[in-house]
Amino acid sequence: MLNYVARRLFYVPLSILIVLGAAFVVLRTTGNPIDIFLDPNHTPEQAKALSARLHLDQPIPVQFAIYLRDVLRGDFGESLQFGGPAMPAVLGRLGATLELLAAALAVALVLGIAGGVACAVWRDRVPDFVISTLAIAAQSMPSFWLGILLIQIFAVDLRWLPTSGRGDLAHLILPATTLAAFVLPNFVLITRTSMLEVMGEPFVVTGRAKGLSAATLVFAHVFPNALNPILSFLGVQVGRLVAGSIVTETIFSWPGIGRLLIGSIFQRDVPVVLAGVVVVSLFIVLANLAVDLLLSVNDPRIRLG
Amino acid sequence: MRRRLFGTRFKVGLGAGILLCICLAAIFAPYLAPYDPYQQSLVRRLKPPAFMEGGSLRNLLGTDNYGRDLLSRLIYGSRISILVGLASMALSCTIGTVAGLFAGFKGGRTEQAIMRFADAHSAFPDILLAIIMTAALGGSALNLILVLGISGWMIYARLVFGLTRSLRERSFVEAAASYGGSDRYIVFRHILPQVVPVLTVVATLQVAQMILQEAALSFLGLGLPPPAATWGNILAEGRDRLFGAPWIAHCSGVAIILVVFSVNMLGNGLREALDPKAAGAAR
Amino acid sequence: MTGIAPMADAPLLSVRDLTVRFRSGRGAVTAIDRVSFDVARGRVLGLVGESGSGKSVTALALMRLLPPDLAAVAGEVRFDGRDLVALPEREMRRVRGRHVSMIFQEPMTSLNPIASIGRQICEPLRLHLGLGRRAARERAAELLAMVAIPEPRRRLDQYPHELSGGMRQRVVIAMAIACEPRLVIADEPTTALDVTTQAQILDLLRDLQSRLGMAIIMITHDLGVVAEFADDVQVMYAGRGVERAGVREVFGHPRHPYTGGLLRSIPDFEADQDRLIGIDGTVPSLANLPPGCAYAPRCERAQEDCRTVVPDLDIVAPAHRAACFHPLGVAREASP
Repeated sequence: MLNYVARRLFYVPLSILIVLGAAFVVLRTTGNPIDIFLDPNHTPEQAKALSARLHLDQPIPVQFAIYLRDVLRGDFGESLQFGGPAMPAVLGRLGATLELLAAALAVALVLGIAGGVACAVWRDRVPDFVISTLAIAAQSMPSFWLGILLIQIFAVDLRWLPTSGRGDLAHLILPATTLAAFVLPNFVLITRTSMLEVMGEPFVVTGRAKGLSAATLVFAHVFPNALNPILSFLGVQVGRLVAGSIVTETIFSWPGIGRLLIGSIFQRDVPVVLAGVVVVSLFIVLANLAVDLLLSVNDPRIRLG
Repeated sequence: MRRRLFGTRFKVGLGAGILLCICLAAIFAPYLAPYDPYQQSLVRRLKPPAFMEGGSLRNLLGTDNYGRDLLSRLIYGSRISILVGLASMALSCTIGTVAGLFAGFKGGRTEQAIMRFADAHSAFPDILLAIIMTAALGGSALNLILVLGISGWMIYARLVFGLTRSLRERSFVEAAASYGGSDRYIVFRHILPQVVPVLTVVATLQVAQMILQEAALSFLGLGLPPPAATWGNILAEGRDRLFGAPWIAHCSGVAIILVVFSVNMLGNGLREALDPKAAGAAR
Repeated sequence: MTGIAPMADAPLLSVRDLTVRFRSGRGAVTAIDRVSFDVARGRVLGLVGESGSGKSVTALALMRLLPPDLAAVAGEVRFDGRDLVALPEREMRRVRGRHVSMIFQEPMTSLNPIASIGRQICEPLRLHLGLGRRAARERAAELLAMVAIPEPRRRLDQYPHELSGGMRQRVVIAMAIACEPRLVIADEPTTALDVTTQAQILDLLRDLQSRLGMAIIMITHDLGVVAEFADDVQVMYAGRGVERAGVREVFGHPRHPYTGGLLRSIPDFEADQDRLIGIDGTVPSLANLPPGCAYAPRCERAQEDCRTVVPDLDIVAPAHRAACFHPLGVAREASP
């Protein structure tokens, strides 16, 4: 098990390196921080000083190498817009993003699994028709429009909830719902498919022949067996969820990493963007690792090694 | 057997029908649109749609903050959505198919390099990459196509790789090789025909994703710059006018959902038509 | 002669005119057509037939395990005085696993792959006998010992994939006998196993049967298994019972030409047979049965009446029934 974790973590730097490299090259080649961060009347000396401080006078591969060297020392550079170190600026927003992700994931998992199980249990009957048709339709719903609709209904018209910002639970409801809706339909459909597949397995008949009730069978035998495909899918969805959080944070002015990244990209605040990229990649990789561990806990046949 | 709510034929027909209408609207936009989508009118600002109180038949879907006709803007906006959706899908599909064929055919180190790279790439949320790229490169239709096209190749590579590898071991490919068939011959005569049905389904469904991503980028201010009539831009403008002129945001939202829904319909219908076994499980 | 159980003693299970119809896209298919038989207490009935003859459907129908929206079950299944066909589902659940239990063909798939052996054996014990966690575990270990699984306590915490096919089938058997049911339905319990294991499992079943005094319905296509194991035999063909008698009577004096054909096709009872061979023609499709006797198209003795009227399963000799207008009269010797 530990062996497995170690081997998985070994590949993490590779993933991050590729993404970092792409982002670094693109950002460095397309915009000049000097024009953005020094006022238009800057002296050539000022420009030269900043340029030297950011190693802009070096060729790009060298710049990247210097950057990587600094990163390995734990130095992600200085934020140009905030003036402080870049990494703490990103980590300061991590809490807000995690709060949003956790709330959305909880909603999506609970409702998605409940809906999918209901579909499978009442296969081809009214609940199945209603839920799976809704899920398929909801897959076509752009999350940014859904967010706007929710704001319109619950914040503008009904005035029940705040339109944006982070604060108490009321602030969390609309963003979390929007983000949850982004992945919820997929959870419903994958749960339905997975449950139906397991329901066709012979051991379900064995269970019935033992005298188990339908409810016991569904919850004690079928669902645990259907859980692994759902969990694997969760691993795939983490990336989508993070992507969705960027849009959601923008719609609701949620002060998380996603909004910070968008702002920093516009500002050409390269150190913050790159630090954000590292944090996001690490989060996704660790989430996938956690999913793999859950899979092996649930299914004794899976040996990690 | 059990009846389905929507038959395969219904799904394909409905999806393809709506899409055809939208494509025609995109192509013939100059003839269909009642107004110039960029023509501003200070006196006709923020007019509600015809079906709302205070609306008139002059602007069926109302006007925006600058008095531009929303119906005309939507019709012109469909051009960008359809163009970017189709072209970026085509790019993804081409890159992915070639990469998958190479990996599956060459095996060994080529396979390792390509597939590990695909893994690494897909570990990262595609929209974040697209955001960084479009922010850096600037939002033009070409850049959007490039950025979205490059971000979606992995699924094709995996599919084609998997199929190629399993087909390679089958007898007819070996037989073709033993007749002295060139790699290219084997790829075009034996492997691609087998891969095409699956790819068609995936590609169709991906067009929906691409359209959504284009709209999202545009909504975030990273698409074509503001005066341009794109659905994402209209939505972003409408967002600031939710109080007072909600129709601006919602007419564009409805347009997006209509296109995406019909593409999804078509894709799912095709999946059922091409693979009846998967249909039962996937519906 | 081992005939049918004395009539004075009411049989444990009495099946009368059991009929199963499957609804399908175009109309319905009759999978089981008016099948009747008895199983006496503590005895073994062999239910024999080729695949598609309706043996397994019969077993599932007895247990009421067919999906109700697809299969319509009619007739009477009287078990210990109660008609199982008419029993409410709640009551039926108390019969399943408690009084009647089942052993399935595929030990690879008939156990839940992600639940421990112990949990799966404890389930009926706790459900039907109301045993506590510890008592159930204790009993489960005893059961594993009864089915001759070494180190029973350690096995309780193992998972199905850690056991061989034969061991898994022993676990399935332990689960089936957990509540000491009066009837066990074994649906091809040895088919999926290799030859040596087959013999061991059959020995085990016979041993358990004599120790626990339960009745068994042994469903098989293997006449060798029937000859070794059963007291009575019911032969099935295309969803109908075609011959029923004591095992020696059937093997010694088959009356139905189909049974005769089956017996002729076996060169040696001791040899293992994967399938029945040697009768010309194929089993007709259930959706497309001939109007008269289903076996008539393959039968050398068939005459006009066979092709128009379905023969009833009538008495043709003492304690011997066959559904044939022109039964074999002469005793046929089973080949040496």
